[in-house]
Amino acid sequence: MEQMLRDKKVIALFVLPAILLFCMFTLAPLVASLGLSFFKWDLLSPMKYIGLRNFENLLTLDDIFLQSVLNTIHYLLLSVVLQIPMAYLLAVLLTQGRRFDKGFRNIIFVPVTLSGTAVALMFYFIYHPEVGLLNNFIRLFAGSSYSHGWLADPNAAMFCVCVAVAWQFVGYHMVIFITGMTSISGDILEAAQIDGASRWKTVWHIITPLMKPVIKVSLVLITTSSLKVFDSVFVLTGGGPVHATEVMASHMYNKSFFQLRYGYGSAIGFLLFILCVVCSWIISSAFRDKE
Amino acid sequence: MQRQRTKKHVRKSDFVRYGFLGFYGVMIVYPLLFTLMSSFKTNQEIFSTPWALPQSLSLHFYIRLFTEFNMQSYLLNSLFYATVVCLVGLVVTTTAAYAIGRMRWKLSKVALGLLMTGLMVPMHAIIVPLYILTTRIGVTNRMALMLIFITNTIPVSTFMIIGFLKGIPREIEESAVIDGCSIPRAFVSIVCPMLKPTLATVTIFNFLSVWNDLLLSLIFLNEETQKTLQLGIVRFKNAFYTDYNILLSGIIVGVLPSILVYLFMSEKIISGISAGAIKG
Repeated sequence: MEQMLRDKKVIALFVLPAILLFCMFTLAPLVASLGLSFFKWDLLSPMKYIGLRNFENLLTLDDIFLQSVLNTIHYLLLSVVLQIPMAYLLAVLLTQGRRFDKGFRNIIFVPVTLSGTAVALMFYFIYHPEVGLLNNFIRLFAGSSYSHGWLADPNAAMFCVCVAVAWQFVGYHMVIFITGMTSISGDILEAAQIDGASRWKTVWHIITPLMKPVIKVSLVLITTSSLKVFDSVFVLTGGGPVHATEVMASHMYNKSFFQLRYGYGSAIGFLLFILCVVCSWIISSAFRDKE
Repeated sequence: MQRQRTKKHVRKSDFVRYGFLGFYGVMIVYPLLFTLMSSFKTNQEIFSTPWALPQSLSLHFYIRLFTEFNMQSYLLNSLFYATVVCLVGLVVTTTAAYAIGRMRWKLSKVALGLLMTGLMVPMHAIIVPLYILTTRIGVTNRMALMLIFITNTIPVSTFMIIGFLKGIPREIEESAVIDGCSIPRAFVSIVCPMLKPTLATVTIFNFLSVWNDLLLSLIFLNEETQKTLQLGIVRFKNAFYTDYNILLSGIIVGVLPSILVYLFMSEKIISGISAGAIKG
């Protein structure tokens, strides 16, 4: 058995397809993305080496890039605020072994499996100035002449996008929290109860400290996915109005695949990668200190 | 007296609890129902009686989606890409996971570390070079798209399968090998069947990630006949922004397959998320 498990031929046969695909379609492009960002290239004319000019332009000349970075961070913070506390509250409510816990959990999770595109389109309809659900609802109180183009309002657009995304993903974080909470040993909770701790005190003083590693996972997941947000922005607003919802991914998409500035787009993509790594690292180390 | 008071207190907190959960549940379900109802209405009804039930449940707009707007082609394309990616991805990752998690070789840790770096790399960071690469090496766009999807499944799937392999006792394979079975043979006929629950979870997630993708298909698929469901329904937003029914029934066709999958496999999907989160 030992001998057979060392069979080089079998190992190669088993592992090489994955390694080759990975190197070709993830690793090489990652290296190339850094490389490309030193060039000016539209795929038609020859590549031109321009050193750090792409990065320089990004940081000094491209106002939209800076705005897209700020918007992405705005989106990230709004998503955390809209999703994490609500998901946590729902998880607390749904782990008390009461009736219909599972039913509620299953309903709240439904949107997670839907496509971001379909959800965004649905919210495009909900926010619609004339026929949308939101304005129709407000009209019940404000009179039938009320109309507001939510997605055309630069001050409201980003919030609207984040609400749509929160509608979809609160259930995801809720399930993660529920898993964490149900794995906390019953003895601890029982001891707390015997000591006379109220339900909410138990949640705050006993469950929450034990949940820190799980909260960390949730925060890392929401951070990396928020930094990469594309679908919902692309469908709902296309980055508008006047770039109020332009995020890094949509900016990269426009620069690369509309303006055909591949080197420049690559530079944005690479910065996005760095930002993901840095943010995950910050969250992880912030939680490590506390533990 | 004491007892009565607690009972009353419990009832009150129950009221708050179920009231809140019920409200939240309605917030989740009602937008979907509103969209569904509106999809049966005429433009006239959508404007004048937004809250009323549709006057008739005619499937007119749904039929138009299929006869005029190629919906069946979008659906079949999405199904085709997702199926191919799941099948090939499963073979590639299960074998790799077995070689890394079970077999004995010096570089297995290195290989694992290499594949796990993939968890950190966002698609956006590599999409430009990928686009250039695949147009240069002469594979067709559909092929490129599927190869990229397959590669995307590798890190997470391999990670999950290795985790599960550790829980399978080696004795079972050992006895098979003693009986004269080769390693690949034992892998196919003994290990794989035991991995079935994990493979099912992995497949559902891979399927959903291909089915729900927008960015990659947007970049790689230009020809109408190759487009996916998501590209198909996105088109309705711009093309029919006064003809709401096409957009609305498009949305419903867009969400229906996922809801059906969820209805049958909710436990599997939810436990898969849990497993991923706790291990990750």
